Formats: sequence, structure tokens, C-alpha cells
Amino acid sequence: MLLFIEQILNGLQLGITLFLMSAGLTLIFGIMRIINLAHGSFYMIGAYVAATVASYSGSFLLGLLAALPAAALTGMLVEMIVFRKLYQRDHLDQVLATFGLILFFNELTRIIWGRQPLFMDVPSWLSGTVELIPGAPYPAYRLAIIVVGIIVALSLYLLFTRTRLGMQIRAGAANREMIAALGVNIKLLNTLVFGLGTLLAGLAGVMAGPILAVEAGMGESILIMTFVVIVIGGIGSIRGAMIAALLVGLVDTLGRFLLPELLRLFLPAATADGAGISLASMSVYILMAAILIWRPRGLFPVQG
Amino acid sequence: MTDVLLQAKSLCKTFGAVQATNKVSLELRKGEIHALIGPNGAGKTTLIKQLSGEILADSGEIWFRGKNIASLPMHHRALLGIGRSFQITSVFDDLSVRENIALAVQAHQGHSFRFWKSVDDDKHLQHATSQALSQCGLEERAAEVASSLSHGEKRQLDVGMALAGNPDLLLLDEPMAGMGPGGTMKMTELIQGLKNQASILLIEHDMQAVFALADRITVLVYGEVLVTGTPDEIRNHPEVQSAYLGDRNPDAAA
Amino acid sequence: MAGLKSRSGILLLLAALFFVLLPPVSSMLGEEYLISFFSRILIYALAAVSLDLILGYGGMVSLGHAAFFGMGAYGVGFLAFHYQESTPFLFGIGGTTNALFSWPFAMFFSAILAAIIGALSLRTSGVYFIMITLAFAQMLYYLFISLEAYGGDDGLSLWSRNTLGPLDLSDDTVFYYVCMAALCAFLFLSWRLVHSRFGQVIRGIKENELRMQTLGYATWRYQLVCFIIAGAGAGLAGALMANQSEFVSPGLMHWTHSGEILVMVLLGGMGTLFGPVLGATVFLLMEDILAAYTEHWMVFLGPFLIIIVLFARRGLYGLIVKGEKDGD
Repeated sequence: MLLFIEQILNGLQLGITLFLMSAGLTLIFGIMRIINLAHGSFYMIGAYVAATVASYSGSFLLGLLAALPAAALTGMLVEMIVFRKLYQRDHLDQVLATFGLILFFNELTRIIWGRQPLFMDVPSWLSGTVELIPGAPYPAYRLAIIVVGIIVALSLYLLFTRTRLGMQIRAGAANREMIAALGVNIKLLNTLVFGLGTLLAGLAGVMAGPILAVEAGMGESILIMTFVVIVIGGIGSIRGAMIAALLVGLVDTLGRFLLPELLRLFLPAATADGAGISLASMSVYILMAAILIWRPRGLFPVQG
Repeated sequence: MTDVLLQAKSLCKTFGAVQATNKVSLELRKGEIHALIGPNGAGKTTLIKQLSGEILADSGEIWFRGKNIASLPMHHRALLGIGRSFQITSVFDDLSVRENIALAVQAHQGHSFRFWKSVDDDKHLQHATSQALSQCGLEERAAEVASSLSHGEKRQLDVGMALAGNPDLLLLDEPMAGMGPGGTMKMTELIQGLKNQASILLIEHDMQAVFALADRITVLVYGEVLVTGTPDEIRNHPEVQSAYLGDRNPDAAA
Repeated sequence: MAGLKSRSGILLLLAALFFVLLPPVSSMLGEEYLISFFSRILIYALAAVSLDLILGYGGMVSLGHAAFFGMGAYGVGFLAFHYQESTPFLFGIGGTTNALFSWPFAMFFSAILAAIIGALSLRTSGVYFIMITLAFAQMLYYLFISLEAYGGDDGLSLWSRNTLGPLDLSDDTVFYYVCMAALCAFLFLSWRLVHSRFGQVIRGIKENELRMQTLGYATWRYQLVCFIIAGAGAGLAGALMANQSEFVSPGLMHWTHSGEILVMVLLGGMGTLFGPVLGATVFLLMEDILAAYTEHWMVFLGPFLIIIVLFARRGLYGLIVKGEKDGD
């Protein structure tokens, strides 16, 4: 039972990471209608910068503070140099160009940091455990990720519903020409939105750093799951991203934990384990397929 | 009693907070040209979309040839004999005029899961295509790429494609949009020439053309049918005059 | 088809001459390894042409095409494995290394997969479609990694190449010509397909799907069939690849592999059938030559790709044969 709770929390934590990634991506797609395969690269940049600065300075926080602007600024730079020319193009062109970006960033990372993965330590002030439920200690760091995610979700909510910038972004999603006509600087808005999206990705990367290995190509594995989340949640919807992210995080984590156990009830142990692992690795995609059959545009599609 | 080809009963369609179509009932008789007029935003194109199947109505029935087609997908309705042209020209820009018409013809020549024979050598297809080309008056331009056509010729092609399948019912959405007097005349003649072949539901802003062509007119305002009647009845109807003809929109083309 | 005097005709002739003469010339020059290298190019050309069918003609941007390539390879791999281990494969039937059975099986395997993935993915369009094809392909990648019985991440080795009737495929030259024959056959069939009624429908759907439906076409069905045909083609390429390297691994299905095939199609010229052959050749040659200079050559490929997308969209075939009608 305690193990089960721990797995649920892990699922939530994965879900939060996915939420940070997909919120940024769905924002970029929803507002700018641009599909960005290279979103994972900013996750990677966040992780690498944080890992490097943290190991030199000994401070996780410094790493975080360095990584966020790094991811955001790189994002805005890329937006100005590459994406501005892609807005008018069709999806295929965007896919190909952003694929080129992935190749570039991955290799650049290997050039600068080499092929060996970097390791990031959990900050000492978060290295303990917390007993949320008596008798069930849970790593404080993972709990912190969940907390950060909730804070970010709330901040985004406030940003979009209470601030002028948020209004402009939402209006821009609904009708680009109109807000340009109203005098809003579309170019600047696009760059800022892009920067916000990549900042979120960078944040996800920093937080994932101590848990996973920091290496070139780490962006792509999370990216695929991010796509699954967005497809399930509905492109352009932050609320969809939140719900879908938690759903995917839970299904993936619980699937890996439960499926082998479940199959042992019917099959011999060795087969059950093998089949269980195979099924578990496919579980989120099966979930995606099932939801698509029911709702081809995701759970909360945004109109337009 | 003249034959009724199409009967829409109480169609309703809502988009979010907007009731685009509110209990619209409409009847189209065999062989007639029935015009659908109304101010911009009245929901004329939305209605056409529901009749052709591009949008599914929220409620109501559409009876065509004795069947309720309201839940049938678009391609199915097309094969039953409903053709449609578009308000904003919708053709195959990178294909030649001939290829455009050929695709329209091909749809009615059985399934297209034929992988071997070249379309150019397909006599059955090309023969019918040539006929359809002359019907819409574009034989001279057959080899041209559609994107190189003038605006008027493109509108002609758009209508020509709807015709090529020999439909019983033609839904024409502002065929004269953006055309000058010459083009308008040509299109009017084309439509008039179709009287014996198909029944036509025509959306148009060009009032001259409407009154010249229509056997009956339905006026749509804010998603509701205001009145249906002969051109004379409509011309003299006080509510129509104030709602539409009275404050005549100088910008006739959409 | 444009006559031999046209640019595309000349290009085709030159290419044909080049590929036909490659083995004897390489042997003469003592550079036998080229035969094997160009076999690989022919195989990827086949995969790229199959992708062009759905991408260049059908307008379907699939980022999961490598899955079908990989499935074809594993089709051959499974059969070879069970033959090698003398264990039954499916329904009590044993394995085989006979190409006459393995290769159609591989194509069938890929086709079935394409039918399933296509049926699910084609319910959507645009960005959703792209992401979903990507997701399904990755799903298969993870699935095959988890299949410990068949090598998992380490892959599966074949003891030898398949047997194809009287032909000895272990002879690199013979194998090369078999690959070339497969490519030519698929090119020919694709060419007929593209000019047929079916081909016109697919092209129409790419241009204007709404109009096609208005005209009376059940567009989804045609797209699915096209998708399946392309999947079978990629499956054949995969089967050949399994033979070429005598090794299969899940990496064949990784989405970045799909990306590479996509680049080949773009580089060569989408919607031209022959362009992808050119693209595969140039891409793999470039990879080989650049890799000799620096192990980080990929850092140039990225920006190069971006530049092509932005400025040379028509690809090499388009640049060479500029102004001629598409689809020849």
C-alpha cells in the first residue's frame, strides 16, 4: 500500500514535469500555430547549464537561476533567427526545420560538454525525506517538484486571467489579425511567448537533472511523451495539458509498477514480467489511441 | 403538386453562444432556381454547409429523394446527387483545369481504387471530362494550371466542378462573388442554361441576377427564415425591404 | 513521361547508367566496399520513395515511417531467428531464411502495421497527425527494446543473408543488383500508381481535402490505402536492410531515423518519385564524407537542413529539372 502511494506520487511528479513541457509547447502551438520539434532542446539546455553552474558553484539554486534565463534567451534568439521565417510556412517545413535544430543542438552539446552524461546532485537542503503520510517517507526533492509545478500552474492561471499580457496572449490565440490591428506588437508578443515556453521547458530540465542523466538527446524522450500529452489534452489548451499530463504521468508510472504484478496472476512469472514491461512501455500510447478513438481532437480542444 | 426535391425541416445550429441557424425550414422544387438572400452574417453559408454535409446540424431533418440525409457524411451526399460550389474559390490550384474537372467526373465513375491505368489514357474518363469542360465553357483553358486562371475563370471552374457530377441538386454559394459585369452575365447565362438539368439553390448578393434568375426566393435574417415567395412577393414585402433591400449594402461582393 | 531529351530524362539515364555500372567499375578500381555502400543507398532510396508517396503526393507528414522500415527488418529477423534456433514462430510454423517467403512476409507485416497505425492516425489531421505517427513509431521502438527474447536493445544477428532462389545473396554484387531491381520495380509501380485514378485522388486530397469530399470522395479510405502501400514499400526496404547488415535492432525504428528518411525526401525533391533516390544518395554520401573529417559533422547538418527548408524547398531534383511538370 505504501509502495502504491509512493508510485502515485512519482506519477504526479512525472506528470508535473510533463505539464511544464507541454504547457510551453501547447502555448507556442496554440498562439503561433507553429509545431516545434526542438522544444526538448530547451529542456536539455536548462539541464546542462544548471548542471554545469551547480557543479562549479556548488549551489543548485545558482544553477537554476542561470539555467532559466539561458533557456529563455536561447529560445528567444532561435525565435528571431529561425521561427520568424517559419510562421508562414506549412507544418512540414516547420517539422523539418525544427528537426534540423534538434540535430544542431544535440551535436553542439556533445561538442561543448562531450559525450559523457553529466550528473547533478540533489541540493542538500532537499535531500531528505518527508513523511506526508506517517510511515511513508517520500523524497523531499520529488515533493518539491510537485510543489513547484503547482505554483507554476497557479502562476500561469493568474497570468492568463489577471494580467494585461495574459489577455493579449489569449486574444492573440483567438485572433491574430485583430490584436495586431489593435496596436499590439505581434512580433514582440511572439518572442515573449516563445521565451516563456522555453523557460518552462528549461525549468523542467533543471528539475529533472538530479533524477535523470543529463545527456544529449534527453530532450527527445521527454518530447515524445509531451506530444502524447498535448494530443490527449487538446492542442492550445493549458487546462488540457495539466489534466493530460497528470493522467499520462500516472498511467506510465503506475503501469510500470502494476502491470507485471497484474500479469503474474495469469501468466508464469518470467513471461508476466517480460510482457508486463513491454505493455507498460506502450501503455501511454495505448491510452492516447483509446482517447483519440473517442475524441479525435483531444479532451479539451480549443476552437479555431 | 410539383415535386419537392429537397426539404429541410427545422434545422438548428449553434456555435458556442451564437445561434447560427434557428429552426430553418426550406423547400426546393424540382427544376426551380431558388435564391437564398439575406444580409451578411444571416447564416446563408452555414445553411449551405449543413445541406452539403460540411457541418452537421444540431437538430432537424433534411429530406432528399425520400431519405433523411441529415446525418450522412459529405461525400455520401455528393454521390446521391448534391453538388456544391464555394463562396471562396476552392479548386485544385496546382492541377490543370482538365485535371480539376476530371477529378469531379471521376468521383461519379465508381470507386477510384484503380492503380495501374494512366488517367491520360482513360478514355471513359477523358470523354466525360471533355463534355463537362464544354458544359462550363472552359475547353479553351483546359491545359492551363488552375492557379493561372483569372478570378472569373476560377469561379467558372468552381461551378464547373460542381456540375461535372451531373447533380440533381446544385448548391451555389455566391457564384458571382468578385466578378465584373461581363463575368456576371456569363455566369447568369450558365446558371440559366442549367434549368432543365438540375434544381438550384443559389446564394447571391447581386440582386439583379437574383431577380433575373430566381423562381422563388427565401430571405434569411439572423439565422431565421423571414419569408419565402416569388420575386414579386419578395420585392414588395415591407419587412424584406427594411431588413435587406432598404439599406442596400454597396459592397455586394463578399 | 517526358522524353529522353528532357532534363529529367537525361538525369534518369545518367543515374541508371551510374547504378548499373557501379559494381563492375568498383571492382576494376579495387574499391569493392563501394558495392556494399551503394547497396545501402539503394535500400534507403527505396524507403525514401515509399515515404514520398505519402508525403510528396499524399501530403501526409508522417514522422513514423521508420517504424515500417524496422518492422520489415524484424520480419526477416524473426523468421531467421526461429530458423537459427529451430524453434517455432507463429502457430507452430518454424522460421525460414528463404527470401521468397521472408520478404513478402516482411512487407505484409509492415502493411498490417501501417493499416492499424494509419486507421488510428488518419482520424486526425495537421499537427495531430504528425505527433501521433511519431508517438506510435516510438511506441514500437520501446516495445522492441523490451523484447528480450529477440535481443532487446542489443538487437538480433542473422547468421547469413536470405536465399533467393538460385541467387547467392552473400555475394555483394548479386545482392546489390537485387536491391537495384527492387528499387526499380517499386519506382515503376509507384510511377503507374501516381498517374492512375488512385494517384489523382491522392494528389487531389493533398491539395484540397474539403473539395474532394464535396466532390464525393471518402478521402480517409484513399489516404489509408496509400499509407499501407507506402508502409509495405518501407517494409521491403527493411527486409533488404536486415540482409545487408545481417543485423536488426530497435534503433531502426527510432523517430530520428524517420527524420533522416524525411530529410532524404526533402533534399532530393518531394513529389517527384525520383528525387528521393537522389536525396538518399547525396545524404548518405555526405554523411560518409563529412564523418571522415569530423565526428561532429551533424552540427552542420542541422543548419544545412534549415537552409534547404527555407531557401531550396524543391530539393535537388527540383533545382536540376526546374520548370518541368511535377510528378514525372
